[in-house]
Amino acid sequence: MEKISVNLDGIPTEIKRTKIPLKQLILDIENPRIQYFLDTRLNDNVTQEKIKFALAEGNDQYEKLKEHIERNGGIYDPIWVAPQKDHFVVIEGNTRSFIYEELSEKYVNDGKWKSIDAYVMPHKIDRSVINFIRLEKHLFGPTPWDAYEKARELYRLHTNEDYSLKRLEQLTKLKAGDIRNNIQAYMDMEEQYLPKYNKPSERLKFSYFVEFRKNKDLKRLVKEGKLSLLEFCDWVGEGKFRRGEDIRKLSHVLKDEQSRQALIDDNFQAALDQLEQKNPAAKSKLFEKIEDVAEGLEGLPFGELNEIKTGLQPAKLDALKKLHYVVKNLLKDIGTTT
Amino acid sequence: MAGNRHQFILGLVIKKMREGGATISAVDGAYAGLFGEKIPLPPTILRHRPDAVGVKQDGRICIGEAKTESDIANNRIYEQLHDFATIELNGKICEVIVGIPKSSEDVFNRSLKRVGLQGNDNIHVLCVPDELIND
Repeated sequence: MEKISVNLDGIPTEIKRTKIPLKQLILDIENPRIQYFLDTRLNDNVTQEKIKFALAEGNDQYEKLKEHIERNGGIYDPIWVAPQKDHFVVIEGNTRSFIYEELSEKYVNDGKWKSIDAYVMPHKIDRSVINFIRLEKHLFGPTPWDAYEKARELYRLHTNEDYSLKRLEQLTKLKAGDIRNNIQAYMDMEEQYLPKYNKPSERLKFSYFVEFRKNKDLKRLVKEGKLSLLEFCDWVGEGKFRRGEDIRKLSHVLKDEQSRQALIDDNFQAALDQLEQKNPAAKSKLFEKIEDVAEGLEGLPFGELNEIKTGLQPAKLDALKKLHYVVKNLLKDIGTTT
Repeated sequence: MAGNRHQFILGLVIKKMREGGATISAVDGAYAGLFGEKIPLPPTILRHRPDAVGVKQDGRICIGEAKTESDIANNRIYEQLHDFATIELNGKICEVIVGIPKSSEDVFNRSLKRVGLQGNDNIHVLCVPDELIND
């Protein structure tokens, strides 16, 4: 087993190169190449067999690739896998893994088709590294993704994983305009799958949905089962929100039981009124900033703090003194002392 | 992914039918999302055979149709949509989901208007952005 150190998405990563028996491989359900098949399947049951079917049927180059690997007697560019308990999920090279399986059935006595050359990633791997490998290998690789899969993956990274257009531009080498068009096309498609309400004024606003998908706190609440997409769609359809910005504050409302109830019984504004009793930042931009300042000061990095202490940052010290002076005078006016 | 435009659009129509709560019971042709499984061919409804048929929980029949640019120019499809959107099956008027390329939306809407089907609550049009369709 050979250990190699490589940079993946700028992160120095130690990987191993080894041969892995086919029976230890798990084909990746998140493989962008098969997402059209999975999106349009007739039932919810997804098996490894169905993934294999999609890999072969969904790739016009499948037969050519198989013939090429068979004639060559194997692959020369290892697949990429991530460990998962006793198995390995194939991050890149799903089609080639399946071709090996087919060839191992054709040449039952030939050991070379029973295992496949692979780069093994560490146990704890950042999702961004996996995204990086997929994009690097397939957006422009020998068998690039189809239009639908490309647009879907760009949309997914932008909306679900908060990749900025700039970052996608750097990763994919596509022009920002092309990326935007792809994402927009997929959004236009997705919008048509959302629940619709009868009156035009009650139609689900897609920008709300995008805000919803981008918000990390809301994503966490969904994961914890405290919020569902359908519930959210209903609230939007019932006109509980006034603008997309409301969605950014939704998680604060949902975390407070009384505010949540006010949202259900009335609307988002009523929920904010309720929340304001406990958290003034809910409705006031000034108090929102005060919260940010307090949080920022508490988390001031040691190096920066040390520079202020040792007199290397006099302007910062002046800013802190000014803040202290203003707050002290205000509290005095109010009649409260700390 | 299916290379054929018609089959590609049909896949997205079937997705919409499923997300609308229909269980797919019949599909015409070599549909990719079957993963090699067998499923019955849709029955002829009045004068035409739909691309896909599903049933909702309340028993309402949902019919899926995929149309490409060349289909949209053909008057026959409007007769077909009229049949599907007006027939009562299982005691309810059928729901029809038609998938078309987005670039054909205007032509399609004009034709729907001409045959008196525009605004029909039983017909839902799914416009597939052309950027998503492989050529």
